[in-house]
Amino acid sequence: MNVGGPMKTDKYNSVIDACRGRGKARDMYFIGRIQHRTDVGIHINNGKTEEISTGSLAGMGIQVFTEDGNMGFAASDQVSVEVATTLFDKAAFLAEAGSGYQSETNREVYKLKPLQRRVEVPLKYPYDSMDLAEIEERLVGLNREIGTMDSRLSVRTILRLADEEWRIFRSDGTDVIFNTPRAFIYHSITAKSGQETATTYANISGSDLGVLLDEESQKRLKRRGQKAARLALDLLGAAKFPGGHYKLVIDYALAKGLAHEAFGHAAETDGLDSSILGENGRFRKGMIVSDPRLSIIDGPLEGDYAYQPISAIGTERQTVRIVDHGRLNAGLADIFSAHRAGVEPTGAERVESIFHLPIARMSNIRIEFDDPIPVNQDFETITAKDLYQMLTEAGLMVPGERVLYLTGFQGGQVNPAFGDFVFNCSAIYELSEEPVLYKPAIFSGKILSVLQSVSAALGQLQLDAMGTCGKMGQGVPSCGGSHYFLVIDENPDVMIGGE
Amino acid sequence: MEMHERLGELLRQSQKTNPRLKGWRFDLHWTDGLDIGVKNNQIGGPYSAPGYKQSISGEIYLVWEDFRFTAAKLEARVVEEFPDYLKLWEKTSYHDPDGVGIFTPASLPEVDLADAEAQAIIDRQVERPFELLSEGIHRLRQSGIRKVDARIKCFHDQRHLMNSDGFHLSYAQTPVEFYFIANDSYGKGYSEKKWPDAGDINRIIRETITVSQQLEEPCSATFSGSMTLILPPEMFETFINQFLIANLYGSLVLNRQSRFVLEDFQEHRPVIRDDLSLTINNLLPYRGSSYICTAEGVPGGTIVLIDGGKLQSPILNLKYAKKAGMNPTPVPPGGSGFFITGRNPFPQWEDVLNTIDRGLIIYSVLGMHTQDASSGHFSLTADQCLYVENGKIRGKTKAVINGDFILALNHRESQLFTVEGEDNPGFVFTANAIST
Repeated sequence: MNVGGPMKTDKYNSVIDACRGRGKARDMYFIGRIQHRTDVGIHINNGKTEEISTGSLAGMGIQVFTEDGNMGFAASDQVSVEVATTLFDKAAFLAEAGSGYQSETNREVYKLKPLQRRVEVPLKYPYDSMDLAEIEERLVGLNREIGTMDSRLSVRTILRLADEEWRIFRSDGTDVIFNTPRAFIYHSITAKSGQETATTYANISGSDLGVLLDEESQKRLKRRGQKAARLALDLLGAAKFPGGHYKLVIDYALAKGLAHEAFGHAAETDGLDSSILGENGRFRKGMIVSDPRLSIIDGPLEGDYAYQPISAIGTERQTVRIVDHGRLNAGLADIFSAHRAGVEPTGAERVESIFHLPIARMSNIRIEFDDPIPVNQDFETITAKDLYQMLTEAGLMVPGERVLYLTGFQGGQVNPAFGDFVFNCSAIYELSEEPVLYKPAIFSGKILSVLQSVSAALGQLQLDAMGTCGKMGQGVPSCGGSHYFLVIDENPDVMIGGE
Repeated sequence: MEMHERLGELLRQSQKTNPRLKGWRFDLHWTDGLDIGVKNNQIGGPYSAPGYKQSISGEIYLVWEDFRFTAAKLEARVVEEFPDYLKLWEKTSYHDPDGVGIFTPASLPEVDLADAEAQAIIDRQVERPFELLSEGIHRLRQSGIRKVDARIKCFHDQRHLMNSDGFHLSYAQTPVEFYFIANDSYGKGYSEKKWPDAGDINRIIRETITVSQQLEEPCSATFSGSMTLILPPEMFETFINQFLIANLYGSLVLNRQSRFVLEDFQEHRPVIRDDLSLTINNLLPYRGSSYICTAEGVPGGTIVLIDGGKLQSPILNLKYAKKAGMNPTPVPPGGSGFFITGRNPFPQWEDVLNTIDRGLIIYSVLGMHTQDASSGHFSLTADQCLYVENGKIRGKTKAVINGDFILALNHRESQLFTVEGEDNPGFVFTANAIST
């Protein structure tokens, strides 16, 4: 990609002019989005290529606002002056139709200030920097490397590259272009012996082919894959742990899950009417939610899998300290709900595609803890036994104390209205000189009490725990992390499911 | 000439001029329709504004010489920019010694999938989805529901399948979906290929009201240990999808990533109780899961995957059918279109409820997508439950639940029950539960 050169959506000036003309003629405010995306996925199964798939999309969506704040929306996977004109009229018709059914009105967009920007992420390893056959060969090699560790293993490996660009324009003159390239390699590793199976995962993410070509990335993925494979094998025959309340240590990927599920979603202001972090629809700013050493931060990081510098309505995305040293500080606010929530908009709007309406979303969310215990070891090389040594040496647990180490994030879910969150791990260790492995179990709790129990952190920040967030049926890339490990004291509102 | 005909013609010409291209098929969808939401008791608004969407999508599959294949998504520009696409498709082809050629079905089933009423709504009666939502909001609010969220989608999908052996199928379908969610606690939905009749709408709204009202009554029960869990039909379907159907896909079975291996099917190994069977049926008129054939051309139909508790066939596309040495099967699209049946009729829910000493009716779980499907073990938070004692519903509670679902499907003590208007039964079994 030539940074500073023409971008793919530059060619749509006439489409934008047509929308502006239509908006003026009908006296309507609008936000337009043009998306241009090409992607490729390579799927390797047990050392053989299962499929290479490609896809592309060039389309547009238009959100139209009447003077009194009624809204209509129309989208198509075609971009032309004719299509834009038709979509505008359809959206306008629906906005007017909705007004007959007391539809919700919102005029906050009229407060936006025009913005003109181009943000082009430079790619160190562009997608065409390696021949497809060579990429395929390398992936097969990565897959076999794990699969040949043990005959009980089977391994699926997926590489996905997405070259995506957005152009967002509004009737107020706003015209922004930005790209959101992303890439990941993902191993799904199943160990099988008789009727017993266990599946674990390992991945690495970024913005370009560096996930496959960069030496450091390769080393890291290899370590992660081998560790996950050994874990899957060890889980065969592992027992279930008794459910209950325990002192816990979670790794950075689970900490991302905690930040994302337990706090991030509840802090999104489009749902604040029924969120546990809202009171009468207002963000509960100033509420103490954790130890004063803890902060939760969300914001785009260049090169990150979930990077997005500009919002889906064409405003700059800000880095937000949701929790600042123990206090609830700021919401992830979209323009439509920020005022009602009593906070400033933070450019949190994201969409999955041109067919969707913007909602408040996270990007890269992380938990930061002041003065973490230093760890002089790469995360991937740390075993449960090493962790036990670190915790006892730091005085964070005493020999004989029952502490569970949860490792490997398997996804999570939250109901912000009731304050319940869950996420799952790949495995549980009971820490001791000789840690004992147990099957995974759900980690669940109450949003308003879990952070209060985070009492320590170990290691540096690691912020590459990737995933896809599916809020309101829209899948967008998410990422985040924390220090290598967080310690969570026993809490009656935090439970490990189990036998 | 329409887009699918032009694409077919371009591919035919390419085959003549490029001897490496041995065959092709595509499945093209031309879709348009309406999507309207309700948030916090109001139609529309910034997150659920009434919307119109149109798209051209689908997939293309090319067969090249030397066992090379292309799998790609179709989009609107594919005809205009065909030479570029063809170059890209050849460049991104892959070698697969197990790959399959083009399949043409000997015959195709007939099934009604297009509803004139739904089509009329998209074309000119846009007020009707608004009216359906308005009626739902009104009735739910009148019954004391504080917060109503809802959504309705009504689409027209013109589907065109063609292949290099001269196969051509074009048909229309009209998927319609709507749901109502009350107080963020309980929702009920409809997903068919026709506009709902008054009875459907009434049933969805009535059940949303009944259950959400029951979930408004808190109950102070505390429990820990073995417990009767009751999965209403939609929750039972969720469990079946996650822990049983997910293990039946041929690609997972043959790659040792499923709970089952191919020999289990060849030897008809018993995996669930011998009075239970699992069937796929894609041929019911106007059902959301019905279709005439898959993108590969495999006809929709009825197939028994588990008969009398014994495995019969994995879910097989053409490639894995070839690898397994078995016939390809229809697939359950989007995890629907399957049916659990029993050798004997199941009792009614009301009769089963009376027999439960202590149990939880589970309406919602958090974390299902995080569960290891191959293991059968579940560990979930059941955030919307009703506590049952001595055959009576006592009120709302929450629990962390754990168990082995496949084991439960084998237990003689597990029970299934019928609920009016539902395709599948509900399920009563014993697992571990801790109140939270």
